[in-house]
Amino acid sequence: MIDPILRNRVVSRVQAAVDEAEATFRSGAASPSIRDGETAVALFLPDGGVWCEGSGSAPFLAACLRVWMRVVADGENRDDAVTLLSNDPYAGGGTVCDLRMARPISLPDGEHAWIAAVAHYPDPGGRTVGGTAPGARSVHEEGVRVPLTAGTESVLSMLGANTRMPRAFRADLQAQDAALETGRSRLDDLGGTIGWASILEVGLDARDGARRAFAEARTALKPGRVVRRDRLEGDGTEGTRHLCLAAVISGDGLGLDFDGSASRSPGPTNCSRDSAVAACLAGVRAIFPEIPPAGVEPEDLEIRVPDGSLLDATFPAAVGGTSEVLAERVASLVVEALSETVHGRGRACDGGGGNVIVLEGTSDGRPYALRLVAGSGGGASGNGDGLTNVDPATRLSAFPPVEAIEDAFPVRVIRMETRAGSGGAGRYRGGDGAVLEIASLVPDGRLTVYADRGSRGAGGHHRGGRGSTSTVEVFTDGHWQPLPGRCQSVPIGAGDRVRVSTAGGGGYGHPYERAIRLVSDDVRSGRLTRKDAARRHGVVYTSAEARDYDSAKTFKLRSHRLTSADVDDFLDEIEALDE
Amino acid sequence: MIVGVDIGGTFTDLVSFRDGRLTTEKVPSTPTDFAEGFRHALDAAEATAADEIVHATTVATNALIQRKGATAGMVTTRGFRDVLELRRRDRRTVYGIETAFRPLIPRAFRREVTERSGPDGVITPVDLEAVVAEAVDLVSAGAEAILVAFLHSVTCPDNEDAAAAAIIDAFPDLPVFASHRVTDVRAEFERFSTGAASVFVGPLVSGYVAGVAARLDEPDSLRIVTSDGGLADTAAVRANPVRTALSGPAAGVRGAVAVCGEAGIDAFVTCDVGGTSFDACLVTGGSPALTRERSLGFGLPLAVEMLDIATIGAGGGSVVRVSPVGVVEVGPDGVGADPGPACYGRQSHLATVTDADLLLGRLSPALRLPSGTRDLDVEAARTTMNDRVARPIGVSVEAAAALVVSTVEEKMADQIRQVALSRRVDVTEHALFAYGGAGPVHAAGIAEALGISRVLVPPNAGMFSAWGGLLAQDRRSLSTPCDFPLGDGRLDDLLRSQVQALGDTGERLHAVDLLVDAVRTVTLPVLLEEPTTKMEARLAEACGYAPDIVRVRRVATVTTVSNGRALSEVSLRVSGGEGEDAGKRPVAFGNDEPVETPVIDRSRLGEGDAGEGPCVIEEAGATTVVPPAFSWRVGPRLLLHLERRP
Repeated sequence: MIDPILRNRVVSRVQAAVDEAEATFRSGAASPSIRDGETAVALFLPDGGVWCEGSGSAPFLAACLRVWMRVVADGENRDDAVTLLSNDPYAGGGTVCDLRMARPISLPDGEHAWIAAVAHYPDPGGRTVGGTAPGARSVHEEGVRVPLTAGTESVLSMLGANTRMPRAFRADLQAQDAALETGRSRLDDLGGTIGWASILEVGLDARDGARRAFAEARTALKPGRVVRRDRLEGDGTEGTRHLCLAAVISGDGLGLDFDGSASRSPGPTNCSRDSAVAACLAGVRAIFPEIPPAGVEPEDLEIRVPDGSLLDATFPAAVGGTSEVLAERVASLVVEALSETVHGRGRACDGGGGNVIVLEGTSDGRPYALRLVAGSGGGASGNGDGLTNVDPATRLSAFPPVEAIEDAFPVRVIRMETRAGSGGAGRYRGGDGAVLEIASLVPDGRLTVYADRGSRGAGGHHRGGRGSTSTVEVFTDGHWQPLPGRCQSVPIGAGDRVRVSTAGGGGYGHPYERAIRLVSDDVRSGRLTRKDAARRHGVVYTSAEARDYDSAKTFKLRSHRLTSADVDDFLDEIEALDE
Repeated sequence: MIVGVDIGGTFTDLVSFRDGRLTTEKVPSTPTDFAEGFRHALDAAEATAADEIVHATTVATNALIQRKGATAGMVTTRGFRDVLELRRRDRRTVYGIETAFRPLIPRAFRREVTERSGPDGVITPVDLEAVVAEAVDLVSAGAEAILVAFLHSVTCPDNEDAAAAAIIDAFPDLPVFASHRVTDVRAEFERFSTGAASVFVGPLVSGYVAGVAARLDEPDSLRIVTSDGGLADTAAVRANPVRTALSGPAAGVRGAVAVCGEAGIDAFVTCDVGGTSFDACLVTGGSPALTRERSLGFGLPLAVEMLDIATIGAGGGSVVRVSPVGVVEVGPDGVGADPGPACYGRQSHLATVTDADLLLGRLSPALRLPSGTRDLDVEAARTTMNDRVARPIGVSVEAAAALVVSTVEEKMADQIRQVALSRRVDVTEHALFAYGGAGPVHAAGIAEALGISRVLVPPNAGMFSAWGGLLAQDRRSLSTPCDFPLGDGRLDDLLRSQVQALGDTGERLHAVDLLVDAVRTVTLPVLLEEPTTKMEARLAEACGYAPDIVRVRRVATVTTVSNGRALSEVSLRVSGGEGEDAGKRPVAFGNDEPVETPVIDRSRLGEGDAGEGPCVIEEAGATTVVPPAFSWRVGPRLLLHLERRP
């Protein structure tokens, strides 16, 4: 029995050390994406299991770090002084953008704990900045891959020589290194004052406690088998593909079986098995946010990924779609399936990832590459409407100021606004997506698009409606035309525009149960037309004033005493009010 | 006669000096109309005829946090109606369920007009007819104030100014704000959000200030402490109300700077602990750190210059819970003054930090407050601590209380460490300056956790913020937009010329605020003894990376003008003394058994008195805990120094 006082002290001190390492990383990094959250830091026990995670670590990156540490800890005895490094998507998940580093902390008896950090670097080389090349057929086109190796100066210079942003890359690397050093030094101090034997004992005990808490929380899931399917759009190499998940909940386990999912794509819409495992972890943790990270280990989830499927990419398959699409879709499927089986924790699907546009070219003789990621609508829950413009649950990042974009790049942002009405209908509606429209100010640009949820919107929960699908359009030669969600090297001239309208989140609960006051708010604020208010929410307005609704018709409609033919009769009338 | 007033969530504190003689008043705050409590305090102190009244106010903060402000409208660039709603795409928690965010200005009150500027100038002139038409519509819909917020208005303010002028022409009495006049941050979300906060609280703050001023014999005698620790008259507050958002905490820091300045201490951390929050500000070289990157909650950044005061929800009333894995957690929510901690006897289901302090003997069961003695119920505290903390984790009540205290102190120390880390300073070389009702109780523990060896506690520590405002200085900001890489010497040249321009006007260069990479602000205080030629190197150090990837986008110099008030004019003394020590009581330090500990009445201590820990030094409204490892002495101006023995 461990002294509760000691346990409290160690747990809070270890967390503080890891949080300080994380803060060191963010505050020292030069790339805005890393500063704004595309990082994770964690401490690992000698057996490679997670001990403690940074409080603000990005979910998918943090989960990948855990999967990767299994690889590291299983390796040969490591030299104390050596920092290990890798961005190998097939051994640890993610893409070549995700550069992971781990540093051993010596414990008595020759054992090691590990402090590790990962960031999603903006440019690892390859065809397009951001490691997302929609036309890529192999990892070679996505960037430089480094297998698990010692992070020596020569390796780092080699990586620096392949990026388009060498100075920022250098600064980011230094920040990553400083994070590991901060973590190690804080923990060494702690070992000096409390003693490693006690700290380690508490670490192992806390993990046992967390696992018991997870086992306990898991009993809230209703036993049974829930099957959920999701559809991925073609990536330019093949048509629509399916993801399939069967969540099997039994008295003593939780199985996640992806049998039935499509086979590997020749393009980049794949992820490695490690990524799939990490995404499952992120999904489960989204349902159980109160359980400490050590409470959920991959082996607690019986994850089954069929060989040769798109979740089983092996070298040299392209995996650029991992962080933008697959990780999010896998986590989202897990959330969707588990939401069905648990009371009070469920939620509708998020509008999801993708939404990447990259505009490249030269301006005043200098090359530029602008990479922007728009947010989509968050899923609604029993707690309320979904959040507008948000990252998928697997990721944490930020949109740069429009004023900064226009200051630094030869573009004009025409609009960056809420995509009103894109959230799924429901007692609580899904969050709205966003509309981002950009015009190029210089000729001879090239556009790369990597969007998602273009063919099927985010699913609702408890009879909530689906969110809108995303669209991508380009304005050239004087008119708008749709683009496929995944395309590369589209020529963009001066004055040409691209517009991404991102997907809305799913709704929660039956739309007819939505409070009339909230429907009226949505109508008044332009999120919902009166026609949609009648069609989707069963509220019938009689004048241009949003507070004037016809209570008799609304009551009849909402209690299903009107047929759709009846509704059509007065829809035209309502439509006139919208004008 | 000069008067300082600080309105907190629970009490309104007033200190006044008539011919150098100090009187204090503490009356209950009146949250429904704070001006009421203010008037009560003034009447009680017979201070309506004061020569100067310096006021630290929470009206703006409360309105923003509780979302109770004006119905505000916004006119903005076409295509950017939803900037406030879209934020920078962040979310509240990493894993939890997220719900919709409601901006201060709802969508129906956000209107678009045709206009556009770019980084290099106007592209499309503003359609003023449309602006006025939207304003008319907004006002008829109930808008009480209007924000004009256009893209690129900092570099190119023409359209925004023209639109604001057109609305003012149409509605001369309506508060109208142009975003670039509220803050000159070149990032639309942060600027629009700050502007929205201004229109949201503007009518309320103006009304409050006018209401208070109307009660004074001389309305011009009212001065408001601003978030950067400066002073503003009522007209300046009306012009930019959001500048008062951190008024109270800033007043305390100002007071600390004045007290430490006289004592020759130029590196310290303020540690202000009240009932619900802990505020810490790092002061190096005698200058408190400034920032423009504070936010007052999710989706509500306020990009105006403020003292860089880090706030967490940890104070005497913070609630203690045990996590599912048996770890004790403190805050961020608190019980407030009503119902208060379990030992107040009005609730028994939430254990708090104050209950733990009481159980350990650190607080007296007969707690001395400025308003009189309050009897605390030790048994109620014991029962609740046992039920909520001790039994769930399987330890004794005393051990649980000790754990609660060390947890909250470590949490506060972590917050200070984070601040020091972001400023890249070694906090162990700083002193800790503690005030607020619960600050001196925990200061020594926080200092030990941080490896700090010196703690300072001013007299009348419980009312220090009300007093601190009296030492706030007039400040003036001058902002120069620029664009050059760091490291080529131009920054140093610019600063040198500004220092020369100040000459011997009596103004002093105080801080330099640099905008890096268009979005990131780094604010650096200028060390008094240091020539300004080293700023480039210091900026690089503060950023943490090579200067060659940083561009300087804005240099703001803040100058302060001394208000000529000497510390001796407003010397504090200890209030509410009984003149004799209360004997001894058992006090537990750390995890040790309680020891009989002397309890000293602070009001009988004079300069030069000294002693060894352990002891407890009590005055009305504040208790200083001196652990065994510390010695204490009373310095000039009755400042209590605690030193950790090596």
